[in-house]
Amino acid sequence: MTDPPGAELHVLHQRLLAGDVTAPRELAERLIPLVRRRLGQLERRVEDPVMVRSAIGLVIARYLRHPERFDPGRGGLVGYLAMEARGDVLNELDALRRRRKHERPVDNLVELERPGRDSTVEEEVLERVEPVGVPPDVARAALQALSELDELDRRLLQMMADGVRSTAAFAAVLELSHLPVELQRKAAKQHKDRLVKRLERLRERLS
Amino acid sequence: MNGSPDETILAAVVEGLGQEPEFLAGWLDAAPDRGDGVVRRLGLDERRHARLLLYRTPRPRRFLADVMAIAQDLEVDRNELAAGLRETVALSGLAAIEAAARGGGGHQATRSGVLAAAHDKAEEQVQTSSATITRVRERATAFWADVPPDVGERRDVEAAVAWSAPLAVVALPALDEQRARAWLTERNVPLDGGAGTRPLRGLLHASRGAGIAFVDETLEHAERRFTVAHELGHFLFDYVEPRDRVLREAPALIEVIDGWRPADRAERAEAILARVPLGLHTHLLERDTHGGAVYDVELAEDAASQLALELLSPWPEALDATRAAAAEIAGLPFDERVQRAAEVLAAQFALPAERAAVRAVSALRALGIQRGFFDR
Repeated sequence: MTDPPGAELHVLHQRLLAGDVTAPRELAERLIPLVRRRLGQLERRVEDPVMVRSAIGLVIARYLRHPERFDPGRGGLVGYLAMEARGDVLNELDALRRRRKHERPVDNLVELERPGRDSTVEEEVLERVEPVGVPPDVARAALQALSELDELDRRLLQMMADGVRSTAAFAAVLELSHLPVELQRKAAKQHKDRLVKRLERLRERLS
Repeated sequence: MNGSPDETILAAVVEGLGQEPEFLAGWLDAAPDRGDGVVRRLGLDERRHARLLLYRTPRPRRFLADVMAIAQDLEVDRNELAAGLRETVALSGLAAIEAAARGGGGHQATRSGVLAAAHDKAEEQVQTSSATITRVRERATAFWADVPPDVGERRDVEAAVAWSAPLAVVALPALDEQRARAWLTERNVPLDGGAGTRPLRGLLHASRGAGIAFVDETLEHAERRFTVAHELGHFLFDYVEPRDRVLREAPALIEVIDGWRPADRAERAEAILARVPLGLHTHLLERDTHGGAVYDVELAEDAASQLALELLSPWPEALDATRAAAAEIAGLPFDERVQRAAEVLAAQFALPAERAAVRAVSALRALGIQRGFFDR
């Protein structure tokens, strides 16, 4: 991140990773004009410029949901997002071209399902996967070494070590019991995955 | 969200966060009123509405810091934001349990997960229960520790509730069950059940870890404060504490408490062994045929009223105020001393007269002033 707003974006990115509540709003509004400027040529070239703007929005949302997927060591944030959005737009244009090529008269039309974006597929998978299984002995041993975790993470990890599998229980600890079950499941899965990754890193360190 | 191109992109970002449980876009999208209440309460235009949806949701145990940060960033009244978010969460919880009870993914018996505590206009005794004093004082101290300093200094209990507990306060004129249900129905939460027209001072609904306390808007200021604090007591002692105990001791049972499914036989046994009350879903509306409260209700009313007194007139401060008054009322008959001390406490802490009298008796006793032989 060496471009002019790079330092500022780096700080915001770190805040986003740390769970700061206002960082997503600040990043979104900062990134929109920067990414759009990068894709100015593409926006002027395509038949439907809204397609580019939507892609920018969805790519930024994807980044806000999963900031850990961005690796600052491989380049700047704006370039990364612009590349992702460009890729999405080109994919969509390809799909559009293919659809037009295979268009049939109206009476022969068969309604096709929209091809799913990655995030949709992920969401579907998330709904189907079993809760992450961590051997209780490993989790318990690691728990001893995780004194730097905050109270919430310690509690979640303790539940995993105790073999708790109930999504409702994890959601209650996360204070998300009011949400629909699919969102509770998603949140519980995200937190468990995050902790599992942390445990794995710790296990590597311990071994 | 039509207009400048940036707004189109912003709308796409919001759309991309719409199914995310840890963004306000996800919370508000899942709410029965789609977040209209909080948007209206804050007076947000379209642009700032979109901004609101981009924030992360307040983290567990960090509600105060996170909501203050959002309020500052969005430049809105922080008390209104806190209250609006609590209301949204409570509406979602009630809607979810109602949907489960109707058969949309839950069990028919799950409506019992809604705790309903009616606080009627009949006079109640506020007894001194030594068993609950420590618990009550700790709760009260913790409550005020979680609110913004200015709210705590004003002892503004109505504003403080939203900061310190997952409870929304809604004031309605001439409160009764029917009006409360109508208010909920307008927000797409059509709760079934009784729709009585008996006048109430307060009414509490709690489910899925959150609640709404309705209060009669026409009550006199001190009475309204006490009623809000009293309903908070019911919420904490009769709903939050037992639910937290379930979560600690038998986490899988939270699915039963929250109405996802009925308890199986093993879980009932587990609950008994772990002394987790599956009878959590108490309906305190029930009264005995003579018009008085049944014993369990009296106990609950006692703890709730004790907390209300402690919140509004913390014991050390009430004692100091009574001590200061005691010097001026020395020599008077006991009943007059109580009356004068009660007047002082009522004025200093904005307490209803009869509650102030209860506090005055306790404080005078603690100072060694009791009814003497010639006062009988």
